[in-house]
Amino acid sequence: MRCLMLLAAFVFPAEAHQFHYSKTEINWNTAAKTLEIIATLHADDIEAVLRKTHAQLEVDRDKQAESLVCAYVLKSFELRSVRPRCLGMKVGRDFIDVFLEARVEAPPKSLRNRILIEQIAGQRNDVELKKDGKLLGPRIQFNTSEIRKDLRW
Amino acid sequence: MIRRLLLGAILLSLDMAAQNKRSPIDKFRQLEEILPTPNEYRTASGAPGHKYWQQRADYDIDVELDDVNQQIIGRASINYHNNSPDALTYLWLQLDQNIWEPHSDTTLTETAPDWKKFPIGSFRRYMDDVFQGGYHIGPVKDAAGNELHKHINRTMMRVDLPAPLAPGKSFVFTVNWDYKINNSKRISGRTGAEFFPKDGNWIYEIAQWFPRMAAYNDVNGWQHKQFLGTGEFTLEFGDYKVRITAPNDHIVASTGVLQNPEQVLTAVQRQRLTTARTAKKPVMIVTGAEATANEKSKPAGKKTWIFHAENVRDFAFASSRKFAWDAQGHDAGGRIVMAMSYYPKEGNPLWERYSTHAIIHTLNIYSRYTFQYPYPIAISVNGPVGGMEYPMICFNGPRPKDDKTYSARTKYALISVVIHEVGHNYFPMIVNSDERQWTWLDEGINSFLQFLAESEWEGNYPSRRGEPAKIVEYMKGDSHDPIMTNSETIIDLGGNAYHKTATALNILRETVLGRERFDFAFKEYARRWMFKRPMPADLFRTMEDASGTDLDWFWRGWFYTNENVDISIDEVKLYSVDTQNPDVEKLITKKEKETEPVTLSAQRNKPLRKRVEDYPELIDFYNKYDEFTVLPSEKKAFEIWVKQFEEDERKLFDPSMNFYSVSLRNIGGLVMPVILAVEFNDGTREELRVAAEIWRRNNLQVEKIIATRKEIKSITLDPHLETADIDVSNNYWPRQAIKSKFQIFKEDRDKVNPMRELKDKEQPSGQN
Ligand SMILES: [Zn+2]
Repeated sequence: MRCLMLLAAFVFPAEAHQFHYSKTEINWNTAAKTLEIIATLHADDIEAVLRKTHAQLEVDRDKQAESLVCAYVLKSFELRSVRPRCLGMKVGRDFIDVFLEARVEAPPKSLRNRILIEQIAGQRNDVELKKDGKLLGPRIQFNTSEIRKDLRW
Repeated sequence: MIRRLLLGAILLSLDMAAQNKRSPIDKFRQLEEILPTPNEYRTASGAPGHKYWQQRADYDIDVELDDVNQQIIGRASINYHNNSPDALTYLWLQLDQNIWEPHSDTTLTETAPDWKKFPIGSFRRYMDDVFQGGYHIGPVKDAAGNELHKHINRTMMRVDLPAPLAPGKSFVFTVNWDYKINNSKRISGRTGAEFFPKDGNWIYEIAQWFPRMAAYNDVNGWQHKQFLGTGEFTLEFGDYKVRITAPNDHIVASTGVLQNPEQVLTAVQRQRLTTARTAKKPVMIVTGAEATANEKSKPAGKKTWIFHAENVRDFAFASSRKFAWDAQGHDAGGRIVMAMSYYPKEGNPLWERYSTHAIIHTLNIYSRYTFQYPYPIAISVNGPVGGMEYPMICFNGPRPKDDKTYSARTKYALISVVIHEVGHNYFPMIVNSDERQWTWLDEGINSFLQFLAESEWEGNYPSRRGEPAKIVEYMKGDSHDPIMTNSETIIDLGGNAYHKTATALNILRETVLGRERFDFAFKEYARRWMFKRPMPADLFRTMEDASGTDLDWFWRGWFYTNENVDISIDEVKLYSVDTQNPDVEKLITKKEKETEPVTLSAQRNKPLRKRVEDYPELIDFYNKYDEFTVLPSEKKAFEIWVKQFEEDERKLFDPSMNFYSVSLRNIGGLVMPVILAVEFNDGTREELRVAAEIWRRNNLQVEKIIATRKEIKSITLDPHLETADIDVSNNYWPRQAIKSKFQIFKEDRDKVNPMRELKDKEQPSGQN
């Protein structure tokens, strides 16, 4: 069988010491009937990706940074039949926390998590499920060969 | 309100083994089974032994930087001194440039990326456009010019000696080479060239540029573990005489002291350097305007810069016609160290403002915790490399935007990286640990000292690593390795070797040993191993030996396992002494009964007319008997019981004393000191700091007794967030609702944020 191999124009400048990963926590708040989502990304990674279209963007300073980061995360983090809205972000020295919220009757059954996976070689995304603040099982791992996974609540 | 339980006084002590069943693994067992057996080279107290030895290599090098074809052409004479007790039949050298050979292990062992989105940089390696990097090594010859047999094994080269090199003897040989310098836009690394399309010039940061002697030592023999790109270097000390030939309009920054300023610097530049030696602020040696003018020049020929460096384990340099250069003398205990920065205009206004200040700050703080900086020079260069250290010189990447403004992240990234890379002079450039094997032994210690230096740069410095709470996310995760993992194998090098180690050392200092004991022991480690090569066991042993504390449990937990800290207050029980005295006990029981809640039915039934009130003949002995009356037989029994005890023992039967039993459970696995903040009902507070040895007989569950005449209102475990406890929701008694990160964000977002409003108006700029 012949598989097609597409070339991505974007190359991440390989930092000698970086492990590229993100962690997202999805908390199902059953009383409020909401999903509370915090996606934690390496600030340098998302900044480098956004600079492809917005040269020299600085995530902790530029006014449009928050809307760009939100748009990127909303596009790359697809919960089945749930459309969260982005509440905003918090930028630290290493990491950015992006806060999403959605009203749900029942939690989503699956997730496509492509955060930075197509832009950064070796990117890994971990997801933690919580119900009313209580952790449900080990972290779920997403990487280049496993983008979509079922969520068990 | 908690229930009062009776504590019976007993004559005989219980068999402790029966009371506390030892959990299966003893976390306090000694490290003897893991650490190497001490010997005459390395002592059991962690110091160099009386027969400690290390090899030495002196280099005499001519090198030319080709600015037209971006290549290095070199020739070296290496004088290798065999100080070992062994005769050597061959020598190993490191050829680090060979990771950029088209068929290097670094390339070949790279695993497949996503086939649907193949990064073009990785793709290039598989195509004809591949970078033709790697060394071209010419003949290796002895001092008489006879060619020596050599064998290249990927990033290592073996030179076979004509006769075994006896202990105490030296061997001189020559080698020449050339290689193409990597363009950092395509292939980044610890060395490289950066092209500036606007003015057509390059900045070169040149390192790992000559065949370097591999280390030969008492622990590993030859350290010729192949270079795959992550594990850094293991090198021998020596003296260097290096002649660097570059275009005559370049400024060269280098390890070592410039020997021929008259030939390469102008009279004005030499005068400015003299001024800078005693200046209170950085002095420009080449101003920004001069550097910008220089960008337009064309070289009229070449110049050779001569540098000498003594007792260094490596040598690196940078070269460009774009460099501005500032310098300031720093008094290092009566000796002047020249702190100098080299940067293109693209680095300003950040670099002229912060780089040299950060160098001097680093020398001040690091020297306080280790030893006086022994070298005459400390340099920071801005170019293509994000952050990398060499003796006396380091390369640092952060720059402002094109419009000369910069964000807070960029500013602190620069200050932090300069502190970090200059700090590497201490570890591993002087305390010469084996980076190929153990990244943490220099990076972790350096990140720890970086945290201390940052704390003294300004209040509330936004340090990335050091505070225990910051490592919690990493400790929770499953990409979490023990610190004692080889450099090339660790999954998250930054989280592990840098962050986890730095935090562990900070916890050891603040919580386990205290500053005074830690600082003394740590300084002793630095002093003992200055210009020598320590191994992990030497650090572990020195810290214990000099602080007088058994830390095997700490090294075992933090360095040899991937357990984390999660201690829970499961339960608090109140005990008071059962005096057996019926006069006392019955009264207390009566009071307790009176305060018991009255049920709803009982309350409502109370006003109802009762039959016994209408017919008093129904009342008998049991209706009148007060169950709290002390009976003569009870009195008698007490008198007999109390006779068992001596007079002074009887005084201890104090019913007003409360014994609180705090049940602690170790969920995370790491044993740690237990820090309890106790709040009493009268509003007073007390802090209880209990050593980790509380877990020595049972590391899963322990009960801690708090004896007090007061009543406890609440208890908080780890109140100052000093242990990296990964779940603080179980740190409170009674349990407290902890606000989630999400809740906090939503609440903060709704508040007015004056900082944010002001920040928008006030943008840092170059107008200063
Ligand atoms: Zn480092």
